Amino acid sequence: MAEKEHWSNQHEKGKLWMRKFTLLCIKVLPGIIVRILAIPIGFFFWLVSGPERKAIVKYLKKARPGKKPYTLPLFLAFSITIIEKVESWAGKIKLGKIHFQKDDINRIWNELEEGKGALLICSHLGNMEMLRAIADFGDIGVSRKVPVISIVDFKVTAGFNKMIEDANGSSMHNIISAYDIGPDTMLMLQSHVAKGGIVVIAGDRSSTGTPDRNFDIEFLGSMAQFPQGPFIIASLLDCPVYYVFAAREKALSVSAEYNMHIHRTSVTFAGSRAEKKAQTRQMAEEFVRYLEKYCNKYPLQWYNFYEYWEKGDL
Amino acid sequence: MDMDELKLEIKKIIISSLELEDIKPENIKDAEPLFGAGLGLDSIDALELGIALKKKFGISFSAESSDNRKHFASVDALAAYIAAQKNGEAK
Repeated sequence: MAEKEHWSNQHEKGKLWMRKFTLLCIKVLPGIIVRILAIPIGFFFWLVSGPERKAIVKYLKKARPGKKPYTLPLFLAFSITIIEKVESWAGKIKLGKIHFQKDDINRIWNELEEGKGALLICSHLGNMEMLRAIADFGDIGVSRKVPVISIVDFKVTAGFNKMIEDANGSSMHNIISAYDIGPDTMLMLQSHVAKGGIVVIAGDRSSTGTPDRNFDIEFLGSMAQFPQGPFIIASLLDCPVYYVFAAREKALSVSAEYNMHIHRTSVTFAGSRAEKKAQTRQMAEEFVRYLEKYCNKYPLQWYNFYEYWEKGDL
Repeated sequence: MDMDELKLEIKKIIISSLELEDIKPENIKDAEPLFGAGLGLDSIDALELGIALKKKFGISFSAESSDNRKHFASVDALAAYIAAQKNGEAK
């Protein structure tokens, strides 16, 4: 495990200029032009990202066995996704473009309508920004504005927060960094949820700050690490927990048609501390089963560009 | 409750809420950092400890997270914070 390069150690190539540039383009250019521009940008990233390409080859062999693991389409899809992330911050993605399924969507809407809060566990498959942005604008089929707190796995800088603010000007969405979690965080999240807010956190990025706080779970045929944190937060927050996946219907197309999948967890927390610990793992495993299912369904929309599985695994 | 008793209470809460079975209250030094170095608690411990202390002492937290970090730096800092809040209520 030690010799594999963790994602957080990887140099995030051109992230800042990329953000500034995409924000500017998205604001001034029509959607179709921006999407055409995504092709050379994605191609450039594909060219300069040797280790990421290698990691993606490994992933594609698992998610799409029997097919050639061509990586370029995934990088192009990623490029489009970045654009649509920013569009969703800016409120440019319309609800009509998001197709809900016959799953637990009505359940969460009903719960939110009753004034309950929720914890949404999402992933880096597809575009998790979709759900955040919709909740931000109070358009999720609920008659009240639902405040959102996202816990993210990068250091939140003032510049980044400013950019989000510039893009949507909404104060309903707060971002806190996993690096800033302290004793007060959980109390803050509890009161947020008690007031009917949503907490969003990704369940598919192993913890760097606390490497012994990961679960080893079989994922697409081999063991991989998943963070305990999101599931422990679930055990401490007394609220409904959902797994959410939003992915493009077609990874590569001009029109941004998204499918939103939402599933309520079957795990409930009860009993002693030891029992709750076991339930935490159970929840992580349940999340991974859904993640697997949607990786098979949307193989080109997986955006974890690092060695996901233990070294030596093929 | 005097300060020493309060500190002992805090240590007991830390141990019981985080199930640090191999640690006794006397192993935790008053001035030692709780997180990172020292006792070596991590961010997930922090989540649970915050809830346990709130339940036990009913303390409230500042909106400034940097202040909270200071109050949670050590047993000494926590005891001073809890005592100050209790005095504030008594007045």
